[in-house]
Amino acid sequence: MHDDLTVLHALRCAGTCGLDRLAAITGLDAPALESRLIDLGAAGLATRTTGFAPGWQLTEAGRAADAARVTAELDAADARPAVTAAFRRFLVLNPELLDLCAAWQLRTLDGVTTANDHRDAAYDARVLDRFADLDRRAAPVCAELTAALPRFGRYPLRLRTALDRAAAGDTVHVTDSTASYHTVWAELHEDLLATLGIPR
Amino acid sequence: MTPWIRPLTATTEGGPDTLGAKAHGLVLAHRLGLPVPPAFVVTTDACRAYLRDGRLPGGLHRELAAAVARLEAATGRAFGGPGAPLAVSVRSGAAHSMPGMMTTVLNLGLTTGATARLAAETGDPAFARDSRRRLLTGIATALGADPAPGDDPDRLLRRIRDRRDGRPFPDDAPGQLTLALETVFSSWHTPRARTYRALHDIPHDLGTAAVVQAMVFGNRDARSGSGVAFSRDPTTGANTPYGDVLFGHQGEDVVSGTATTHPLPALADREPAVWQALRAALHRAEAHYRDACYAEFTFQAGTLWILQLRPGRFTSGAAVRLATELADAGVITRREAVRRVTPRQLGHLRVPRLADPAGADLLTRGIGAVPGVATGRIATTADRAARLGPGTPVILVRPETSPHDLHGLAAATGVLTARGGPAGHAAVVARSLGRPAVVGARDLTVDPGRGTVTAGGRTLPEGTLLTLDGTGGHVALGAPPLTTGDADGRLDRCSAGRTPSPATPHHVIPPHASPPRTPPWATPPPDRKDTPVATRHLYLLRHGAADALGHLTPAGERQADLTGRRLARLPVDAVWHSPLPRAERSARILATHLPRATVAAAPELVDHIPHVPADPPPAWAPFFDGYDAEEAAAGERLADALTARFARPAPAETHEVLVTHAYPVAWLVRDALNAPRPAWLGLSCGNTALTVIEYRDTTTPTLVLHNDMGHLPTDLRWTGFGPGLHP
Repeated sequence: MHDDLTVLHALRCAGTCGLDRLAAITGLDAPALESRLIDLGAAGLATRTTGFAPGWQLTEAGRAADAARVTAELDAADARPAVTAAFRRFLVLNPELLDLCAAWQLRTLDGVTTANDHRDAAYDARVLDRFADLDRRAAPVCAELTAALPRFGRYPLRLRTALDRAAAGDTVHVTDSTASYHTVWAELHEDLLATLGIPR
Repeated sequence: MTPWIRPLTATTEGGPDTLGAKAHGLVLAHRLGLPVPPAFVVTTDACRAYLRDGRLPGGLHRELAAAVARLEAATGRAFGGPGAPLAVSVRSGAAHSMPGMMTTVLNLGLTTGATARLAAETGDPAFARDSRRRLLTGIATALGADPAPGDDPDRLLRRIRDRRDGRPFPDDAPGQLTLALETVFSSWHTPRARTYRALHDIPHDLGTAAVVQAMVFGNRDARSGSGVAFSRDPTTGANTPYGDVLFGHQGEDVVSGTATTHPLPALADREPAVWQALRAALHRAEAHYRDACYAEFTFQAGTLWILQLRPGRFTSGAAVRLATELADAGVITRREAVRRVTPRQLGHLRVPRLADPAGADLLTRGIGAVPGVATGRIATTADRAARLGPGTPVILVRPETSPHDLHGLAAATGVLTARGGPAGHAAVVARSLGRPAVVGARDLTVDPGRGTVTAGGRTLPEGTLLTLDGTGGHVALGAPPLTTGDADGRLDRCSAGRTPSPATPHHVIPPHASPPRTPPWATPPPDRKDTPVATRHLYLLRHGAADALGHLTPAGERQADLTGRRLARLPVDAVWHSPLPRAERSARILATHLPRATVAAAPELVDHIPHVPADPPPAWAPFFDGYDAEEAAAGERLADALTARFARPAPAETHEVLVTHAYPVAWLVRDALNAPRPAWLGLSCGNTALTVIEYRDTTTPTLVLHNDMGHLPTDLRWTGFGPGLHP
């Protein structure tokens, strides 16, 4: 995928993003990103937002342009059947991922569901272990997607990185950061919907 | 040899380990004399054998035939044979609750022939077709064939055949039953179920039982339907049945949210006999459990059937209320009531919630996903929320959320969605951000294009003030009163005279949490000698900067927000505000930083002239011109009530924020200094400037701080003062 489509599509899947987050999503460095963003801005496809969370986001024209290009890319690669099949397998895993995120945030003790205070290391380790297990089962789905469209190859890397960081003690990368497993997973979900042209 | 199958009757033996919790609950329902459709259970032993050997155990088929024959005899219908057709449901039910993890299939036995016979028998071909379509959709879903909502039977049959490697869906009733049993047993080992068990310490080798039950049809006619019911409100503990009912549909539609449900009391109007029977059933089950209970039910042509029964498993405030009311009614002992309320449940009581949901102007109710209360203006897009928030408190209202909503979720003070559950995207993100959230408010529609939100027949524009309660799932218009703790002193009541109260001072709401019925200044202050005395820390504030109509300006909102940040480090118990909108708004904003504090109006804090001097200074003379004696006397009474209520020590140490107006602040400062009454005229203060007074036992009050603006940037200081130079 060409760099400016990479950036356009990253904004399509992740929503409003600052430079750091876009760099993490796309793997591009800041100067390359800025130059792409300026091009997208000049073409009326992206715009800089101010206010509470300043960053870049797509315009309506940018959204339409992304849809057209992504569809063209999908058809050119004859990848629709493979992506559709992978999406189905993704949807089987999705509720389990959400169960896991909820289990990371909440615990039921004495019949009462409370916020997980993360003081029980054994429980947290058990949840992370299940995340790792889910990630192993998500890997073949990501591999199918990557074989169909190489740009999907960033997702398994980013998911793996989030889990590695969490396992190393940087636990915000489970549900609580823009590079968390949950955030990256939600971007992948959005990407599959966008790629297949399925409305939410 | 132990049989694989047990009929479900009042005398069925076996515990949940063998029968599963669902069948165990139905045996109890039989014992209580409740109406239960004829059923049998295939035990967890059979499931374990199936999972071990990869096939249903030998001998099961013979037992199945005999058990089905008993159902046929009990119902006078035939399973697959000629005559009135029998349809059955097959429901998973393990010893431990695993909600939504395993499979249930309805309407089994509706072969093409049986569907035609059902149509002929009822004279309602549409009903028969709908039931058959539900069977095919259920099987296709259970096999992972991912049916689409509009699939016709032929397409569903193709999907099922594809998932079964070319084997068609059986068109004989016993074949369908066998397939359903295998599917239910297999669902024990889906990865999602395995993960759930790993997280909840449930062994993998238990297996599930399967309840096979004669169908009752909630989709039979307009006098049929399905629902779920708690004997009491599971979030408040209030002693009225609570739940959802869906007319003309089968039970899976209640759970899946594919049709619009009604609150349970709708039954009372439409099917009074069903309502009476349901109330009686819940009552009988409560008396047995000595606890609240939960039931799933279906009614067919005006007759009630109970399909599931279990204890209510209440938590938090509802558990406290339930325990004390059961103790009051003599159902359980007071000792038992105290034992049932665990420290964890008391911890939950600290979270703010609506003081009186029934008395609030409710817009809708969803699932409380993240506890806490948020008040703010409606924004229907993340962009709009990010533009307004967090300076202006915003409730982000969305159909559901996606990554595109992250910046809006971060900027909002609370989140409301029409779809999704407690583990959905909105709930997970809101929880990670610490934002109170209500999700799955099914009657809510959001139109971001027009910037409107519709629920309960009302359409509201963006900017409307909403309050959501992430504990009870209530969403109310405006900013209704809040509470934390054991507001009614129930725990004290139930433990009185036995043990020291487990409630700490934070659990006890000051006595004026709801507006007093008589004017407070008519009530003499309690005798100080009788009251145990501790320090009252008062943080006095004038509201934020307001416009000519008395509404906060954006600067006023920023002032209130910054004040909240300053006060956030203090153990504030309560925020009392003047009933006027600019004070209430300021209080709501600053209280978002004080999650433990209650917020309520205090009538004494209203803007008033506390004292009219007999001989006003010349500059003030025009101000008092035309102020008659009666008004002056009313103002003095209000001022005296203000000091009587707040300007004294408290029964237990307390930190209270008063959001009021310039004159009441001046009056309290004058009172603290014991200065002459006219002295208040010289004691002005700026918008949201902080004044602190401490009232201790024996000493005179301590004025710690007056008119301090240290928390405000230069451009927000000294608003509310006239022009001129200010330091």
